[in-house]
Amino acid sequence: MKKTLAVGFVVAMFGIVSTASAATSSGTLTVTGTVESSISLTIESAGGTTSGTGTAAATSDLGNISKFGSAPTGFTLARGASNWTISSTVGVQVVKANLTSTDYTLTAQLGSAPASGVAWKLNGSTLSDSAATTLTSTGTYASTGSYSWDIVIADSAAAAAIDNSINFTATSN
Amino acid sequence: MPGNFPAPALGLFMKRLSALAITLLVLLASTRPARAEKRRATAPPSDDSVAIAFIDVDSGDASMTAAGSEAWLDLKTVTHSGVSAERVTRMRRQIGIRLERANGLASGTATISVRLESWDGRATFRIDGKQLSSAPVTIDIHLAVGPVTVHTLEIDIPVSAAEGALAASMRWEAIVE
Repeated sequence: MKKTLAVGFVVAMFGIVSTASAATSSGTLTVTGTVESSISLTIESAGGTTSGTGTAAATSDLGNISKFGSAPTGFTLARGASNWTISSTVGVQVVKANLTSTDYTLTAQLGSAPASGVAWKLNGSTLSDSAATTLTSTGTYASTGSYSWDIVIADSAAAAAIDNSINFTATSN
Repeated sequence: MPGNFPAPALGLFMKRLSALAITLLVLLASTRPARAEKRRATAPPSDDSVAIAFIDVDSGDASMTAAGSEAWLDLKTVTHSGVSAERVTRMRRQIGIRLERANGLASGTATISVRLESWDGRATFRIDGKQLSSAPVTIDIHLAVGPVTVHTLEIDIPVSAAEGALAASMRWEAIVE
């Protein structure tokens, strides 16, 4: 008898719950857009007293340099018969986003004509301000590529600032 | 047939029969509101019904168009611009919603849930930090009727996602008990 009553009570409660109404309303938010592919280049390292690494605009200060002085921070100095060379490396990283390309081409070009008697080299190739020099045509994304960087200064070069800029350009293949 | 039973057994039988009758009556009673509810469903909404209205609260951001219970958010061109360590492009937008009663009264609360009705799989969506899926995700269990509440929509597009059109539709539901 108790068992039967208990069942009856549960059913009665269920009946009451089912009569409670829950009003529902709805709205729709639609999101649209276009995802565009992109690549990003950063200078990860360079000789000299460098600032701005990890960005696309790094600056290396070599201070005062001379053939018979000491090498700037992060550089080595080699003296030749009629010139001298300071050498270091530049680390460049290219990352991709929303892009199916598997590698990229990296070029470099001087921002302005080098001072007379001064040659800027990357990976052994002399840079100019008139044409881009290809550093690699199979660059690996998200990996820092290290490129040798030499500045060759003739003994005959005037004692003056050698300021310049190297513009790197990465193009997805 | 009852004449075949001894008196105590007959009493027990009668009691069980009564209990069964009560149970059947309760079951019958519980089906009546269901029929009434069917009638209500075909009738126009009552005056105290609640509607969701989207409100553009991102001043200066013209990417959202709100029209009552429908809203469109156009992200336009999305380009990854984060630093190399970030593997997603993250966008945040403020979404305002207001619960409005048909009778104009600002009373009561509602439970708000959001689910993805359709999406192309390019992005993940979060409302107030809760990731959305095709199943409803409760955003607020006591959202007041009347005032505008602001919710943060975050959209993450992995850098590994293919370029192209992005589209998603979110269903917002308010349940008023």
